[in-house]
Amino acid sequence: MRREQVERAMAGDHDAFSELARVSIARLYAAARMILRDEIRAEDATQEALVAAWRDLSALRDPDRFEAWLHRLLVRACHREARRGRRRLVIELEASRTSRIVERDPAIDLADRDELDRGFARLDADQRTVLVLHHFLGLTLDEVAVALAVPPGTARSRLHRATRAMRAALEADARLSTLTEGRLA
Amino acid sequence: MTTRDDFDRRLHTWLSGHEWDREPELLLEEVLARTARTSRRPAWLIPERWLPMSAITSRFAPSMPVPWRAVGLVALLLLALIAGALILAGSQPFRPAPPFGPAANGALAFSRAGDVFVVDGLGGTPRKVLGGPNVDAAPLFSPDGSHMLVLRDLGNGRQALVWAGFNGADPRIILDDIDAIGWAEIGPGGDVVAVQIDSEPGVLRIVATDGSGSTSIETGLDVVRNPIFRPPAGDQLTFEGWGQAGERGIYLVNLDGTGLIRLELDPGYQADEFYALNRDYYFQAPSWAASGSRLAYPTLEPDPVSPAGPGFRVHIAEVGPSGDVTSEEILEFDPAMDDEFAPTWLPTGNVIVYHSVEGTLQRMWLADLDAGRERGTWASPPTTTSASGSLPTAPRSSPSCPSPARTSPLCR
Repeated sequence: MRREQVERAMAGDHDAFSELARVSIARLYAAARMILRDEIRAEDATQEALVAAWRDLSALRDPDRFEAWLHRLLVRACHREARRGRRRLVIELEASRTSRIVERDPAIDLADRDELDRGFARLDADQRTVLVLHHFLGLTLDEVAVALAVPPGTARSRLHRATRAMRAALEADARLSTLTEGRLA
Repeated sequence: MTTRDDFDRRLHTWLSGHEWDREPELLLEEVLARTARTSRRPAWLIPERWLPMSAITSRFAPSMPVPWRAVGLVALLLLALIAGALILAGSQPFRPAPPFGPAANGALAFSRAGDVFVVDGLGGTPRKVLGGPNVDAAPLFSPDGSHMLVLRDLGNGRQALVWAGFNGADPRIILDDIDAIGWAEIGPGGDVVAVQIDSEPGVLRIVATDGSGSTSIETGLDVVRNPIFRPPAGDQLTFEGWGQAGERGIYLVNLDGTGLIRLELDPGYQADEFYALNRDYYFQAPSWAASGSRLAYPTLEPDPVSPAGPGFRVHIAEVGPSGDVTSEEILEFDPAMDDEFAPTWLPTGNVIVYHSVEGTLQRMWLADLDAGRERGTWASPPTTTSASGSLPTAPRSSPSCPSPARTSPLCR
């Protein structure tokens, strides 16, 4: 069914593409939102990725690779947005609005989520990208490599470095909390 | 279970525990409204389909799956280039201006399963010149053929550059433990290598081949790629760059980092109807003539006669020592072609080899740019790529055309 839709979209059927976009857009947006930490830019990146998908769909050789290809387009769009964001610092400083993304695992308590969220925010967009691709979208390392357009070994080392950076960010956050509490006491 | 495993699991639980209820209101509608009024880009215009172009812009990618179609087409290109050069060599003697030109020893180097081999010409017996436990790949001969540059995979995404004699003697690491290398180009004197590292956007590294270290050129650009040395002195680098406002261009910089300039090429390109959508296809892989004064590059032109719409055309520019562009012309050899691209100079300095696409037909061409000698020939017969990706038979060379078909120095 999915393959058939992709093939029809590849042949120029806009209705088929609309259906593919409809079932993918929430997931793509959620991933972009986590990578970019900004809802407006996540919308832009999602839109850019899907427009590029429609525009360049004839480049897809294997319809079964549609999803992997879409991830690659999303990563590119997020990187472009991230670069743009660095130059527009004001956007980085905007207060984050209420996210539509919710966390469903009750095993993690609120304080732990906040701590992880703060640590995640300290990472750069590249580090967040590899973590989101692997843990949130559930891609294997080979699939992450395809999405990032890097060799599998590079994907592995990037994931390792991003995890290490996350751990360091949490430790720094913990030290800061201890210091702040000490001053307030 | 180690602490590290615990942390990985905690991170995974948190990240995978995110879910999404729905995208923002109207986002899907906006996307569909945009796509409904967005034209599909023809497959030939998309880089992933541009096998020869991607082949010449991805010098080092040893760990990626082997793109057999691209490899086949590049082999085809090389064979065609050699065949074309032989035709020209047979009809007119030329003497390459040293240090540019074909390597004198005539050997070919290649890598297989982490080892580097050299073979003396086609049909010779390969001999291993770099073996052992190291994972080496992508050997490049220096312009004089006396040395080779090799990419070493250190694992975990780390790489090193190794400089060795042409027969593998005295290998030494000249750049160690770095992130993925996107491009490396040996200077004409063999004393330096220009390197672009994927994790260092906007930076070019100049690495001494004697192992004394490297210097960095901070261009201030968002992206730099595919640096090449400007002949004959090789004291300047030319590269493709993306400025902070997203504009594409071809840049020139001295090896000491001074004199960075964006070459004022293709005036008025921003007004092209398709520029905003297709800027990735402007100002592609430049190529210098041996004199260092003429630059060829392909870029998108908005209005070829071809029914395919916008397509690549080759530009030739005269460029002064400090980067001033004194003249430029578009070499449209055949308006009916969908694309003409990938120009490369022969050492004579007045002949380019380029690639054309017309529908599913692909051709290699030799074009003599000397106005006094209107002569041209195919470098290969037209070829097609089947849906299964199989490649045509090896190229042959046609005899030179007796007379030009048009005022262009090319004939079919």
